[in-house]
Amino acid sequence: MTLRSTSVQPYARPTWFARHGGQLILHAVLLLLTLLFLLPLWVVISASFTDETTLTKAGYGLWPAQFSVAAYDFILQNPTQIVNAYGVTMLVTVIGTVASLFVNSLTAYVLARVDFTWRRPFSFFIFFTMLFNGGLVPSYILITQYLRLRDTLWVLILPMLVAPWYIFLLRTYFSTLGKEFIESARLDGANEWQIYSRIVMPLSTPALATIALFTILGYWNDWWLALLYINDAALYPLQYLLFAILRNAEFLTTNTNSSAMLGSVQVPLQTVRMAMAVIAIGPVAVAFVSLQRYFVRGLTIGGIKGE
Amino acid sequence: MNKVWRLLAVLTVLSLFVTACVGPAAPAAGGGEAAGDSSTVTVTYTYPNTVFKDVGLVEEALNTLLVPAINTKIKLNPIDWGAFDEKMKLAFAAGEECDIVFTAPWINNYLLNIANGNFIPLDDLLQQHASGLWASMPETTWNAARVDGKIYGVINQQIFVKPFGLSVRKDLADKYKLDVYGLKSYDELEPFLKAIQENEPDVTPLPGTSTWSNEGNGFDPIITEQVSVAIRYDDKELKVFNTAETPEFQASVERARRWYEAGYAPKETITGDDSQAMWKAGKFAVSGLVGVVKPGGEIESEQRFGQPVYAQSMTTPFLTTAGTTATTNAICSTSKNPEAAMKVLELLNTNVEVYNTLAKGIEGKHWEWADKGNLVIKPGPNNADYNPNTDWEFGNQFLAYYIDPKQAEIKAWEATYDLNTTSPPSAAMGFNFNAEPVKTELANVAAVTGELAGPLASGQVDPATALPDYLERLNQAGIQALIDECQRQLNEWAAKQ
Repeated sequence: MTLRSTSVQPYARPTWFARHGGQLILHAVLLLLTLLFLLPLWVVISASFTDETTLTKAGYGLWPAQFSVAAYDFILQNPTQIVNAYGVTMLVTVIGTVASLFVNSLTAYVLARVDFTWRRPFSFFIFFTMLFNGGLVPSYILITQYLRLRDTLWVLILPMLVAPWYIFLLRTYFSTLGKEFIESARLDGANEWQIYSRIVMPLSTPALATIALFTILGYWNDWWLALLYINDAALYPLQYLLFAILRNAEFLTTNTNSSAMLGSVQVPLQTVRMAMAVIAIGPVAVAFVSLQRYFVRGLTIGGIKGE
Repeated sequence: MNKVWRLLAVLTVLSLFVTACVGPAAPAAGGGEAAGDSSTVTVTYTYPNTVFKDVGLVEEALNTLLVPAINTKIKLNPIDWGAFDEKMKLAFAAGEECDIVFTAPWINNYLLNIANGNFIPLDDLLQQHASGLWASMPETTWNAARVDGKIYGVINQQIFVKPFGLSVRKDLADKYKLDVYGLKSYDELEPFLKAIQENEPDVTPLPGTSTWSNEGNGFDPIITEQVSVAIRYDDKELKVFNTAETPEFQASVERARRWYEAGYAPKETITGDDSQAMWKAGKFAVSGLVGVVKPGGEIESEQRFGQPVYAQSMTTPFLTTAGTTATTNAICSTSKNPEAAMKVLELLNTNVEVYNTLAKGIEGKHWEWADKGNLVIKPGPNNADYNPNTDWEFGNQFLAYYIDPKQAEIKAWEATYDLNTTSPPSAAMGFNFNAEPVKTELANVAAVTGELAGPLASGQVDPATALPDYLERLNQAGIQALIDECQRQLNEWAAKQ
């Protein structure tokens, strides 16, 4: 081997590359990874602005081969409906996340307190629902016939309000906080609510932010509850509205039974799909970015010992 | 901070309780403007469709027609296409009350619902409360909806038969002097395909090379289209056989292989969406070899894809059970007013005004007359607010106003009605196969067919080796058991006729 390498010359001053090479490679790899994640998103955006026929002929590209807003025109032909659906989803996500965080954290906090006598039975009761549940039909009957929640905003919020999994995540996190915090707060004259809201909550920001992000995503992306329980078009959340627009359009373009079309609807199906993804992704991406710094810390939940 | 939390807690808990206990106000019975007294009953109609903004207005308009005629109001309950199956399954499982529902072999499954006891038999109701509807179709047609001798679905009249054939681009057919209407067999198309391939560099002759269909060969696929079991439609002996073993199938796959090797179609299979888009873009000379060629179909195709075509059926059409019951409306067993529901169905199938109000919307709003004498309409100013576009869903499609003067010219509805009534029924018309005893074999055979039949029918594999292999795999999957069971049920059914 005649290959010369700087690293095997023990006394030579390390070259610039040797000093920064590792970082360079790391950055290059990370840059590549970032591109791998961003490019598909960009292609989706580009495709959503491409003319349907051109897309079929030329395929997907980084830049629209023939610029067109037909897909957005189709989705937004009834803009009030989209705006309304956006409103519904925002409302549900905000109310749902705040309420869900409150209920979950309060339950988890109580279960984390060792001096709570009924800790085990309650934990078991909640845990039990993670393994066994009544199934779709009974919950459907409960929600529609006993609670009468069909076609209300609540039906989009309540079924996802309490999540046993998040309760246990939070309980684990709360129990890693030292008992001393609680005791010293009590000595200072704080009541239970004050301990919960002023001591435990602020100390648990990473865990809460993680759960909040999951919950936001859950509420934002949900279309299943709307599919089951919402008939009133005014209460359609965004994801379900997009799903319905797409499925109805698909049906009308592919269905051979349909008689001749009134006004000859031409649906740019492929680009519409992409445009929908773009419309639905916006606010959630923002939520992700703003919660991300907590998210990284929150991922190590359970591994953190009292600070 | 403390105050905020406390307020939030109280608010959340309170609001949850209030909603949970009080619940939403009972849904107001539709109608509004329409008169009616305490004896007026309300019938719900649940069907898959786009939920249009003006559904409430159409409901009101319908009620102004229905209340004076039969003292009944209708409550329209459209459900998005993608949600319909799921919602109906749950609604039936939960025992929810409903009156009229849309059902078919392909959505909200007709036979399954009957097996689960979700529908009531309609024989008596039809004769007592819907004489016009009952008389509008011959007995043979009604027989298709019979299960164990009883009718559970009101058949919507539309095209019942499957006259499969091809559509050729008009400009290219004219250019290369192809007499599409004179075509008798697919083989006669070959010189045209060759000419396109040689002279039109931007055009591929075909989107796919398969010319196979059961109906095109006079086979009635009495189990499902997914397995290769059929009878000949005119065979009074009702002999059940494996269609993959017939000379017709062999001829079809050999032709497909020949065309595939000649490069008359793209080498890879193209999905429906893509092929439609490419057809729109003018990339093919023939839109498809096995499509439904119906009266007015050429106009419809031109409207949808912007390509004028000649369409020619390659099939002697005949009536089958599945084709006839393709779109039906049934009455739920939970209905409190089945008589009123039947009266509504009678009007939807016999009354031009009632039917078109539901199918087309309100005059001057959703549609306007283009030519009143010939019953042709055009979109109105608020067409986008109500435009279901599914005439065949709501009742007798032949009552629908035409939306294209060319359709009126050829009297598309009369022509379709004639096609329905002059086409001979299959010898097994009215027979519904009960798959329960051979469920496993059915699934296995369908899996084999799904895997191997496509490439074979489109010539992607060499039939010399692939066809014997396919037959062998079908036998292993238990196709003989399917044929035997089908034959047994068919003989039993025939004995009762």
